Amino acid sequence: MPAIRTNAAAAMLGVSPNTLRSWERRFGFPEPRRTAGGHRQFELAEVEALRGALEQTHNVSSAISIARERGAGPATPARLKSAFMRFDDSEADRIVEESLTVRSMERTVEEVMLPSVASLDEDGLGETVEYSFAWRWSAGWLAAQQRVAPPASRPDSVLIFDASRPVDIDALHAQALELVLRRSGLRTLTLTASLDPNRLAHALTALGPRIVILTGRRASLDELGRLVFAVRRACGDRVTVLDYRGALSARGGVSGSTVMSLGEQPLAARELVLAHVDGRVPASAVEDLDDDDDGPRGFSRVAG
Amino acid sequence: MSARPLLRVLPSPHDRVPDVRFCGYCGARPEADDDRRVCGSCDMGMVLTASAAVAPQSGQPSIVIDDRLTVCAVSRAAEELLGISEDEVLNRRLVDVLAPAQAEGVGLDSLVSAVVTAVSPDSAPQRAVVRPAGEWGIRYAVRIGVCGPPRAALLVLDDDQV
Repeated sequence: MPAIRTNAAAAMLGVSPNTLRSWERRFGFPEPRRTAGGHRQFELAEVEALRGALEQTHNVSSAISIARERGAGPATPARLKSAFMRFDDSEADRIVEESLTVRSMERTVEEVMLPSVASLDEDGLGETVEYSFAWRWSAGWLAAQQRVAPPASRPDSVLIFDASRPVDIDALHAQALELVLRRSGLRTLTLTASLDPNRLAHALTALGPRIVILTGRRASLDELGRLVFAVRRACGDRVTVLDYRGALSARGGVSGSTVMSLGEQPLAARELVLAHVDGRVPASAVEDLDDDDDGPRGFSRVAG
Repeated sequence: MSARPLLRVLPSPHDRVPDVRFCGYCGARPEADDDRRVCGSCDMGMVLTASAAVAPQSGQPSIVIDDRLTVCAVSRAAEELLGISEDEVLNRRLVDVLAPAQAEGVGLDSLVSAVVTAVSPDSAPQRAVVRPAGEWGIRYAVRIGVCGPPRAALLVLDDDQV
């Protein structure tokens, strides 16, 4: 087990060597071994565990309890967030690799990566360099996985209109959704929602989307409506339009009749998309579609 | 000379108050360029950030609670004032330490509501009146705001305000 000297351990934890010694006296943790010369040697795993716990708690004794209990612990959003806060991309790589040993790629994205970036945002760090680093690292990782995703094995295609901007958490979710849809065998293309609808014809003809997903919250209802109209004009009525993470509902939705929601998380969204593609749409959703005579065609109700 | 009505520019009550950093245990304020997570003064507290309108002044007792209303940290001043030790109340419910002061018209609902409102985005600090759990006749005004990281509610006892 790698071990480090007191000064190095103190530097890792951002405390003085005296603080480390006082914790050892009071809590018995982290407990160093002694070299033949009597110098303290701290186990690196214990120090790393304590560093992670210090960032997750509000007092030292809780942090020490947590670190003592779990060691470095499983890959969690908190550990990944901690790596982001230290701009430690090697550690971030390692945590995600660890997660992939016990979770699928889809679950790693949904349960570890996205929550870690979202948590930075929720902590009020959305405008910081740390958040920007976290977002770009995650976007790069997702893009790398997209490049090595297997080729489409299903005849159906999905077109995602992304109305978010870089560094929005919604942009990462859009990328994550594209990844999980590709990995489930669907041919998937993401376009920005700010494109001129009149210039979509080639893409729509080439892709022939069966499903169109609207995501991101930075497009107006008018812009989204024009995109949907362009898709319907090119591809006809067989296209189903869906809303991921409140592209429409965040803008107040369309009165009385809006697009069916895919929810907020990529895995649940993938299941609903596959249900639509396979004709397994929940009965309630089909009723919504059938009842929807007055609104724009193909629009159903946003859940929640 | 007749008095004329005047229009005076007043600061908005919603103007953003600057954030300050302080130790959740001893209350010390670290230097601006000191970004350590653990307080260098007492070695025992985490350095937290909160609005200057909420952060404890020197020696003011404070308690940090999470979104389940369980106690995450207790300052040394709160330990002394309430006669508790941090270790024995960590992870216990807030109401095991501080109860709403019913005599001041504060019920549990309004205390919880004040906490929830205080930690919601862009909301102003809240106020309530509490008493030590299991004791009557003692009341403390408490101001409640958000602190972090990680994000939590900060309760600062103004023991001379009631």
